[in-house]
Amino acid sequence: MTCGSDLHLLGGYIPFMEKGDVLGHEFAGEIVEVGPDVKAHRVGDRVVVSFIACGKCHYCHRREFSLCDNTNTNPAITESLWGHAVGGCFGYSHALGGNAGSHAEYVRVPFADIGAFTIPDAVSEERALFASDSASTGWMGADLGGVRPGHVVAVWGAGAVGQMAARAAILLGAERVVVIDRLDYRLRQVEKFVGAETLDFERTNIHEELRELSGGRGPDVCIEAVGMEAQSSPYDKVKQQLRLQTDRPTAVREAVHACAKGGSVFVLGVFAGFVDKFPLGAMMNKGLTVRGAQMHGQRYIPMLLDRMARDELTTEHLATHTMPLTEAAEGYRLFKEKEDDCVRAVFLPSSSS
Amino acid sequence: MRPSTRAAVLLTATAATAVAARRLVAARKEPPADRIGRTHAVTVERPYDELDGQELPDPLRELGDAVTVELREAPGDRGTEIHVRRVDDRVRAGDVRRALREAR
Repeated sequence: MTCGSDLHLLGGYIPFMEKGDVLGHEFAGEIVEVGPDVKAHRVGDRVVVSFIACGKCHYCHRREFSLCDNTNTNPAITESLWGHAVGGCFGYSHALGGNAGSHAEYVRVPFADIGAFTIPDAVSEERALFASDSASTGWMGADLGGVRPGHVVAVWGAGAVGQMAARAAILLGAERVVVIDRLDYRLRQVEKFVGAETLDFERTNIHEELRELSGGRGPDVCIEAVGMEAQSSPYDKVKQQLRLQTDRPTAVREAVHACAKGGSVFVLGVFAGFVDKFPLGAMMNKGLTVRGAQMHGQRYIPMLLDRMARDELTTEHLATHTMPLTEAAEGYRLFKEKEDDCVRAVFLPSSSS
Repeated sequence: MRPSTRAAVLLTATAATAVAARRLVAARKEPPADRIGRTHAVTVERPYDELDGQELPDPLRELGDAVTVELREAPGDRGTEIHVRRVDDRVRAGDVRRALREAR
């Protein structure tokens, strides 16, 4: 399946791709072969797969699986970039291990007992597919963002991750959940399938609206699900193109500014390097907690599959374009250009010609 | 046209375009705070039952019938939300916000 973070790779914003690399990190499928150390799965199992984690290191024991110490086979790159290496990921450049991704007929899943989860009979593969990343990422934003009953929650971005974050916030008991975007068809999806309120940032002053709908306080939890290619002013776009900043943090800035005093901002959107004009003063003086992470899928996927089986979490509406893998380039084009009301393109290797 | 003149014209044109673009974007958004009917709110750390039926604090009372005031129980044991709506332009949005700040 396509993911917004794949666009960062295709756009050259994460410059660690090589010719022949295989994209794809959000996937489900059927096991055709198991390695000798795999105990939890058998050939024929339907599974959904998360990021790559060993299950034995300090970070895996803390259930912070995307921080795994042992699965990024190129640790030097991210040690230079970020000070430390994070865990491995499928199809996400050589900075995260250079592991071949899922846009293929077959994919090798290292540490399959840790990162692959059997799909319950009651859940379709189409629904379970989103537990792989979108739903687990969204849930993490609401969970680690600290959503509690009575909270007002704002989510920037009405893509699959933003929608799943909003749904998670509702299921965790938030009093009001508001999703912000500019694409009408995605906002309509939020209202119809997620049950959250919506705001169009091209027609509304977001800060004013969020303040008033939260009784003047601002949202208790702000979840950013947009990432480094956010809709931005020419200033940010020019700076990014000139490599004076690597990422465009428009939604993060707005979230920090809008957030209630003492509130929490969780950054789910993928960022690679450095940003300009981060509102550090607002963050510090308002006593905010600002967190982010690549998703700790193993922590959430079993629970998400259970909720999917109970129809608490539905995802089929997100798969707006299902097509053969041979048409992946067109799928990515539709996804990138937001054409034909595309939310996610799902590729089926088996229907390739 | 000499290069320096050309540069000046180009700069002016660019600046004018930028200003126009900013205005266009601003025009698409509704005026944030000064629209009649717009609600302004604060939350106070007082139970709803304690405030309901009480006389309003002076700063809000002084706005008279140019505004309507509604109290709501804030979610999550956060106290009470005071929502104030301007009904006409006898008071400005800034006056309402100031009154709310003082009332808090």
